[in-house]
Amino acid sequence: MSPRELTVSVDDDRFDVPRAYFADADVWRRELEAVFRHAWLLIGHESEVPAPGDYVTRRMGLDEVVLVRSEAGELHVLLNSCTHRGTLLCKADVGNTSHFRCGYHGWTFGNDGTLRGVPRGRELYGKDFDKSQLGLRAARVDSFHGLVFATFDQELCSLPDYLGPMAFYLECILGVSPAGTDAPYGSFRFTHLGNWKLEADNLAGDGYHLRHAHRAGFEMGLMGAQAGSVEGVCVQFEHGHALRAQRTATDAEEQAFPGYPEDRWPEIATQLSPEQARMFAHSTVMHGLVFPNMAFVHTPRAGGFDDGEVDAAMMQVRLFNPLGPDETEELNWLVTPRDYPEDWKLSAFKTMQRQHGATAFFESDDLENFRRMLQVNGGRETNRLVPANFDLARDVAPFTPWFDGPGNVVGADVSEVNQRWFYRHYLEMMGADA
Amino acid sequence: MSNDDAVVAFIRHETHLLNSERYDEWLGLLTDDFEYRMPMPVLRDDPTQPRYSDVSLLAWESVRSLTLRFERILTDFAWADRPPAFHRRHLTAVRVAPTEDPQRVAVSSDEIVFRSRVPEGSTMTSALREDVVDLSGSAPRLARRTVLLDQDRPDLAQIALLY
Repeated sequence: MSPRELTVSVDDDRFDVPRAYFADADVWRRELEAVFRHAWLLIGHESEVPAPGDYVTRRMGLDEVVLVRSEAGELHVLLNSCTHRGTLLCKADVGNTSHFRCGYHGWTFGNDGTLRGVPRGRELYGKDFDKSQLGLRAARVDSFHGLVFATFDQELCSLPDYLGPMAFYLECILGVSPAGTDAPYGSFRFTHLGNWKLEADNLAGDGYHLRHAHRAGFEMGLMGAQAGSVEGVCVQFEHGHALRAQRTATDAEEQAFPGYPEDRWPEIATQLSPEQARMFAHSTVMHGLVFPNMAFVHTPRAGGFDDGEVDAAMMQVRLFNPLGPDETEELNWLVTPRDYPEDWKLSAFKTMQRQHGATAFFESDDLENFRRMLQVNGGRETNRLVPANFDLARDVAPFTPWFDGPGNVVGADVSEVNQRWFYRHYLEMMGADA
Repeated sequence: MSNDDAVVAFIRHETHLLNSERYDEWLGLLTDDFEYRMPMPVLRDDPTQPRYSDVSLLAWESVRSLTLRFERILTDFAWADRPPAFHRRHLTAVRVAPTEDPQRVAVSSDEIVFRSRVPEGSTMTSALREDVVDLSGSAPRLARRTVLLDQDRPDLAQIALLY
């Protein structure tokens, strides 16, 4: 079944996405070509490879890649595949090396990807053998506040242009300190059942599920300021990005940055533009999606856990790679300001692992829903009669946000406007008939 | 019964309580400063290097956070635990060793944990449990549990379990 054979109902009355988009192996294979190939993909954080020779192995779609810092200190994202026969070169998760050596015929590459050595090369390949043509295949690489992105699409715009005005919002979190960002607890990598898009659309802006999927959290007093009097917006950007931002409803002129040390508030106000500071002050939660497969969640400490005396905000960055239509590999990182105190970082880490980590129960309830959506995908009548529906809050009451920010700002805390935005962009890339 | 035998009996008992989902009783066997940790498995090229991250903990639980975890199961909204999964911990080779603290012993056990539920299917996970048992009171209490999974890139169904 090709996506063109799937009728997508996106009209004035309904926004339905057929279940096949979450179940069909042909759709998944097309996603890798049509979506992942033409996007800047998150690879990791610069702090994971601080020294020359440091590397981590990652995936871009199904492509195995190595993020490595060369002897010259530059970041490279290289296809993890020997240019002789394609053997996976680097089999470890992390390490440090000056060279990658293939275990099959011994071809050896520098940590900048240059082919350095070919056993008996001159003798067997001849004196005109041009090693310079056979370096490891390299992706374009760029960083944003410590987050490393890459793409193999030479035609795609630059990373700053790709992120566009979404940077205004990401910088509210990633730009609070002039010292930059850190991922002090490394990366977490695991697999789970479920289609990758379910997590993507959820984190792009599902404010609707909170009071139900996470009702246990509300009933047990673990939702902090999100359980109070709040107001929120959903924001959409070019290239398919979207985010949801919520704050405590307040008339206060004074800017508070919950979860950040009070002695840092003046610095935050200086680091951010006045409009960014206005947006970010009194924040209760901000989460979003950098299309297609990077998401983030930022919350002040919710309370309830004994996760330290320090009131630390936590910023979790996530990456989901589709291993198939129904299996996803997730990586996540705690990202903190680089120069904040260790006890602040530790408190943020405990908050992350106990609320949003792989073993935390907030997360488990989300992933349970994604699994149960997968469970019905096999049904013929279900596929015919029950598409995924995204009609919530198509008519939003006028609301003036508390800040003047870029992107298409919709004054709705609970809406499916971001999910519609995500799927519209996704379906357009997939070439679906809408 | 020797001291070591009493510690082994204690470990068998607390494992039985986890298998039986008698979580309140199990919480009663923990010291106030109990910590439960699961380091991230990380494969490095050199077989002599450690196979677990020394900074990345997949789970880091306290008595309070575990209490909340168990309380949640009893609410009507613990979606991931309703209906519950089958689960059983199989312990073997329980070893007791002294620590520098005369009131605490180190206990290591080899463990296989079976878990099964639709739609996740069944998982069988091998791990090493490294415990610290406190003997300062009238009965042994569990002070630390570190779980070392024998698996790179585990599945969520495996790491969400309490080992």
